[in-house]
This record gives sequence, C-alpha cells and structure tokens, in this order.
Amino acid sequence: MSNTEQAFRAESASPAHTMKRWWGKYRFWLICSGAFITLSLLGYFLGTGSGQTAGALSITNPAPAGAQAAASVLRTQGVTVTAADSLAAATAALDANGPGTSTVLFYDPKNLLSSAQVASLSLRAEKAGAAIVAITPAPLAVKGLSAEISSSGTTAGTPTVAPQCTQPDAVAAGMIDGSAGNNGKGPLHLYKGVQTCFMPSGTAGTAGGYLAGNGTGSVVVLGNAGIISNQNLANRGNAALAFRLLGDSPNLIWYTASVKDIPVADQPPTLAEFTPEWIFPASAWLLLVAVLGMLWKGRRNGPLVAEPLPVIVKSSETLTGRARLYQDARAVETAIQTLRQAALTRLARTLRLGNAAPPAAVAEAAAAATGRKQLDVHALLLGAAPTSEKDMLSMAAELAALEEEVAQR
Amino acid sequence: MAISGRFFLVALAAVVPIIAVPGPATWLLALGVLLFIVVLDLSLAASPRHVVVRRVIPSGVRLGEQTTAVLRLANESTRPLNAVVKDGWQPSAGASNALQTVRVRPGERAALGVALLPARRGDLLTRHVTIRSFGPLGMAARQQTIEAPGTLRVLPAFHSKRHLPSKLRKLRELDGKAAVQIRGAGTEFDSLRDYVRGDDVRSIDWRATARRRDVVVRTWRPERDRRVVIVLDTSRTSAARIEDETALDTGIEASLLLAVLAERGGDRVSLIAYDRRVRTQVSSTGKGNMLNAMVQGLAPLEPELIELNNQAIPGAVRAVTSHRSLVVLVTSLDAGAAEEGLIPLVASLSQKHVVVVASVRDPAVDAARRDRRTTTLTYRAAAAEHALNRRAAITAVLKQAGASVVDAPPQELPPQLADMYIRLKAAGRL
Repeated sequence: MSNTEQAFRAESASPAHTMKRWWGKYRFWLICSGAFITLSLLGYFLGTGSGQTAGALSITNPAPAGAQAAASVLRTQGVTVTAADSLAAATAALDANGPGTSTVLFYDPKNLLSSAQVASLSLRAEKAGAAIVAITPAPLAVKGLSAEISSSGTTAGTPTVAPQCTQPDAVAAGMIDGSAGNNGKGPLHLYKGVQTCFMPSGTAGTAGGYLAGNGTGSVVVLGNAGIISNQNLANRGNAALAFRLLGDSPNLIWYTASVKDIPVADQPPTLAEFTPEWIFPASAWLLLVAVLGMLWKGRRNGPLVAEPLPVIVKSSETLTGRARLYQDARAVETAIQTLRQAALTRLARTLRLGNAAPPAAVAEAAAAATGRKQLDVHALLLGAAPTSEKDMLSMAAELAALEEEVAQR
Repeated sequence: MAISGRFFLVALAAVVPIIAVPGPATWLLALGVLLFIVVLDLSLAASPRHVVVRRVIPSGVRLGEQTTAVLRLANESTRPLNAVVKDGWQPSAGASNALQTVRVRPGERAALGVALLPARRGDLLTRHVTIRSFGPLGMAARQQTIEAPGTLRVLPAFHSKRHLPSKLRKLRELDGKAAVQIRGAGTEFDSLRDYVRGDDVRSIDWRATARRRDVVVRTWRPERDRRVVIVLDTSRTSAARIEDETALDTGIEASLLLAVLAERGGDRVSLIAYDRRVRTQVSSTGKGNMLNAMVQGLAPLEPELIELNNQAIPGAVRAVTSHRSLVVLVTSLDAGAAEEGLIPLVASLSQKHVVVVASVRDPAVDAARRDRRTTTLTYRAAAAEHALNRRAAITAVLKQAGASVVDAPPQELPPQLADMYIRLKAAGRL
C-alpha cells in the first residue's frame, strides 16, 4: 500500500517571491540591525560632525573649559584666528602672515615642549615681529620665552585682583578674577617680569602676579587660564584683558601644543614595531578562516523539524498535591484518621468480619489475633488522635506493623 | 549555498603563504583564489532544483520494529549529482541514517534507504528532503530544500499479544465442556456424549439415555455471535502516565487483546474511541482482517485534553448495535471524573447490557501507602489511602449498579480483562 510514487520537485519561485519570503522570515532582524546602524551613525555624526572638540581652551570647544567664545568674538572684530597644534604649523602661519601682523597665543597645558622648542618659538616670533601671549607656561618655558620674565610659583588665589601696575592693558581691564581659573582646578601660576601686574593681595611686591611682560611688551605671560575660558570670559574685566592682549594685531595664531610637537625619537615604540610583519595579515586571515569555519559547521541541512508532543501528565500528581496540602496545614488529625480508617477496613477484611463490622469489634478481633493487649490496640485504632507530627509518625508505623502482624497470622 | 570542510582546510592552509610573504597583495591574492574556487565549484555543481524526489514508505510498522523508507532521486540535470541528502523525519521516527551521501550520473536514478526505528505510536511525518549538491572539487555546494511530505503510521506495539495463546487455550477449554453449574438461558446445546465419571448428573439427557440404553449427557458450548462493544476513553484522564506509558496506551493494549480473543471466540467485536466525538470506530462485522483494521484505527489516537461526554456514550453504543451486548468501558476510576459521569453512565448501560469497567491502577499509589518512614512520606501515605478509599468506594458503587470492575496495574490490565471476558463467557452471561 501507499507506494506514494508522487514526484516532488523544487518549487520554481521567482526572485521577487524569494525576496518576499526572505523579508517575511528575517524582517525582525533586518529592521533591528537597520535601526541600530542608523542610531550609531547618527550618534557619531552628532558627536563629531559639528566640528566641536573637547580640549581645554580649544577655539572649537563650546564647553565651559573651552575658548570658542573668545575666538568668535575676536573673529567678529576682524581678527583672523588660526588654530595651530604644532610648532611647525605655528611658525608656518607666522611666516605666512607677514611681519608685524600677528599675535601668537601659546598654550602648553601638558608641558610637552622642550625649552629649546619654546626658545625657537620665541625667536621666530621676534623675527616676525609678533607678540606672544603665553598662557600658564611652565617655569622652564618662561625662561625660554624671555629672559626678563621668571616664574615665581603658584597660588591658591583670591576672588579678585586689581592691576596694581601701569601696563595699559591691565589698567584698562581693571579688576579681574583672581581665582576659579581652570574651573577651580589646577594651580594658578605667578610670574615676575619687567612689568608685573595683578599681584594677589598679601603677596604684593614680592611674589609676582598673574600677568607679567618683558620690557618691550612683546612677550606677555598670563598665569590664569580661566580668564579666557568660555565660563569666565564675561566676569569683571576678564574679557577686556583677553581681547586687548589677543586682538592687538590683525592675525591671531592660537597655538596649543600637542603630541605632534614631541620629537619622533622620544616617542615610546609602538606594539607594531615589536611584532613581526606577518602577524597582522596572518591574524586577520585566521579571523576570516574562523568565520568560514562557522559557516561550514553552522549551515544546517534543511530547516529544523518540529516534534509534535502529546500531552502526558504524571498520574500521581494529585496524590502529591494532597500530601503537600496535608503537610502545609499540619493536618495530623486528618492524616491519622485516614490511615486508621484504611487500616480498619483492611483488618476487617483480613479477619473476615465483613464491611459492616463496628470498629471496636475489629480492634478486639485484632488484639485477639495478635495477642496484644486489648487496650493498646484499641488506643492505636480508636484512641485520641496524636497532637504532634512525631507521634503521628510512630503511630503510622505501629498501624503498619499491626496490619502486617495480623496478615501473617 | 554551503561550504565543505575541505574548503575550510584550504582556507586554513592559505595562512602559510601569507606568513611567508606578508603584505596586502598576498592577502588579497589568497582571498581571490578562495573566491575563484567557490565560484568555480558552484557553477560546476549539478543544480538540486533539477532533482526529482519520490518516496516509498511502508504502510505501517509496529512500535519497536525497524523499517526502511526509500527515497528515490532522479537526476534530471546535465551534470553528475554529488550530493548529501537529508530526509527530514521528525526526531521520534528514529532515522539513524537520515543524512546520506549519494552520486547520481546525469539522467539516472538512485534509491536511498532510510532506516527508521520509531519511538512513538502514531502518524510520524517527514516534510522535506534537503539536497546539498557539491561541485567536482567538493569545496562548495548548492543547497535546496524540496517539500516532499510523507507519513509513516506506527501501530501499537501490542505487547499483550504474548498472553493470547494461554487465553485462547482457556477459551477453547470452554468449548465442549459440560456445563456443570450453569444451565441458564445463555448456553447453547452442543452435542450428546457418553457419561464419564465426574460429569454433573444434572446434565444427563434422560430421553437420549432411554434411546441409547446407556447414560448420555448433554454438552454445551459457549454462545457464539454475541456482541462485544469496547468503549475506549480518550479524554483528559487518559493522558495520565502510569509507570512507562499513558493510560490510553494501556487501554489500547487491553482492547486489542480482548478484541482478538473475542473474535476468536466467535463474537462480534466493535471498538469505539470516544471523548466528545467518535475518534475511531472499528467493527468486525465488516470483511477483512479485524486486527489490522483495529491497529490502523488505534494508531493515531492521542489523549485529548477535554472532558468525557458521558451522556452520549449510550447513544454511541446504540449506533453500533441494538442488541444486548458486553460493553467494556476502558476508562479511569479517578474520583471526580467518575463520580460525575461514570456512575450514572454505568447505571443506564447496565439496564440493557453487561457492563465491564476496566481501569489502570497506579502501582505508585500502593507503594506510597506503605512507605511511612518520614513525616512527609506519612502525609503522602495518608493521601494515598484517601485516594484508594475513594477508588474503592467508586468500585463498590459500580458493582452495586451491576457492572464488573477490572482495576489493575498497567502490565496486569490486559490479561485480567481477558480473564474477565472468559469468566463472563463461561458463566453464559453474554
């Protein structure tokens, strides 16, 4: 029978139909991965696409620690602000601008430049007739900038400081912030020079001030970076001081020292220099081979086959449930009554007393059959119910023993 | 599409030139070679779309026996087919070699034998055949799944068949036996024979004795052509697993043994599998092999999670036969289900028929009753006693209503039900 000689062939589906089935099958994962990729790209471009950076005193950083405000104000006032992140770039910009038309803002928060590099910057600026405004330079860098200025330590700062000097920019600015530089973090540097201004109170005359310049006024050092940050620019005379210092000439080169300034030989060797040449291509290839291995082993021979399972219920389920109910309710009396009743029924059958025999008669007959004391058997079968589980346990065991004894007789 | 282990090894070996001559050129060259191999092999492989599949599946196999389903492949493409073929049998079909390698030349055919050892009764399905056709290099393959449904009917194991010879012997002993105690209306006159010592003197035929001048006794044979109706309950209570099998499986075993026995005994057997509608109905009145019809009908039965419709059963029995018959209810004696429907059902059936209620008894309950070692087990013993008490009460009520009850563990139920039938037949109660 059933020699089903029916011929089965692969259904000839059109590509559009196949695509439709694919879409129906993998729709969820396709939509999920599409949404994930879109969100990631969106996040990436929103984070970096507007040309913002996160560096301190960066002219493209609108955050409180940045300096986008100062740069954009200067731009609207006709100053060409050029960012440079290496000494070479800064000097190239100096050369491009022509003599006497530039101001260089020099900011090296990580102290990356050697004093020779600082000296060369100073020299090139002097040649080009450019003024240098150095923000919080380190003691050695100060020496390199100008021999007339020296560092005189740091201070905890005061809320405000007055000019206390004759430098025209300082006088025009009046009171400036004496603290809260770098958003309250980092030291406030003090310098001494030919002109020393903004000396914090208590250290007047001796310790130096936030602003110091050389004799010609071509090098000015500013010990409080916070003055030109976005956060504090609008406070007191900060803006006036910043714009007078930086907006003096038509071009401003905003030079922030970066890793590029470190000579190549000084950089620690990278991991790539230690490893053999073939490591990267070989490991990339092995990665590809691993993917191939997954494709080899992961490809199934056809779809999964489901097993239709019939319903099967364990038979003693209700028994277990009732037992747990008894136990949870500590139904000692109910349990022992059930056990006694069952024992009496079986004893009556074993002793051939009939179904209708009164319990007392069964107990009597059982005592007679086993030779036990009447009272004991009566108490076991018909006496008071036990109160504790322990008593119940021993009574249940005794009932079983009695039944066995009667059956063996 | 799929790739082979050979292709994977080739890809792995390509790491040697990449290490020997590092550089992007080597890398890209290796990648190009691999791609070339894949494209070449795929384009030279026989298209699995041009393979025609035919099935030859045996009409039925008993549970526990091995069988072979044949898969015929015809290669209608112009290239030799070098393929791995997977037959998609469901796991319980026990296909040990569902995945096979085959080579078929263009225009030729091949037959694959898939050995099956079913683990379950019922209709087992295969839905598809998947052909993975490799190219001549054996590197890459085109894969195609062809919908090719097939069904294998797995018949009940009928383990209780081993009781059949002894029960048949018992049945034959009834034949020609002098009816000793019972001379009721039910027994049929068979023949006369000489009196031998030990025969019941009441069965002496005095008229024949007078003619023969020798003592002659009448002998009786059991009635023939009586009706036996087996009602197999497939409702929710039959889903209970007792020991290794469900109550339904035990019921099927018992029904099969009884049906075969009753048919050999000359009675007409009908079987109804019922819950809220008739799942299977087989009668021996029709021509052909009764046992075969029965196992075919019983094979696809599964417990249904619905309540038994007790009121409709007398109607179903009446639809099978209008005569007085032996009605065997293979059902459950669990409290609740029985109290609501079974007792009134038996009461109404026994007005016209002889009723036997057969039920599987769970040996685990009897074991739980005796085990009283800990407090938890004692509570369990009490619960078991409660269940047994209820069961005994229901049995007593059923007996009072005029039914016989066979309540036995799974292994014992088929022979005990057969014994009950023989006893009733011997007593002439059919």
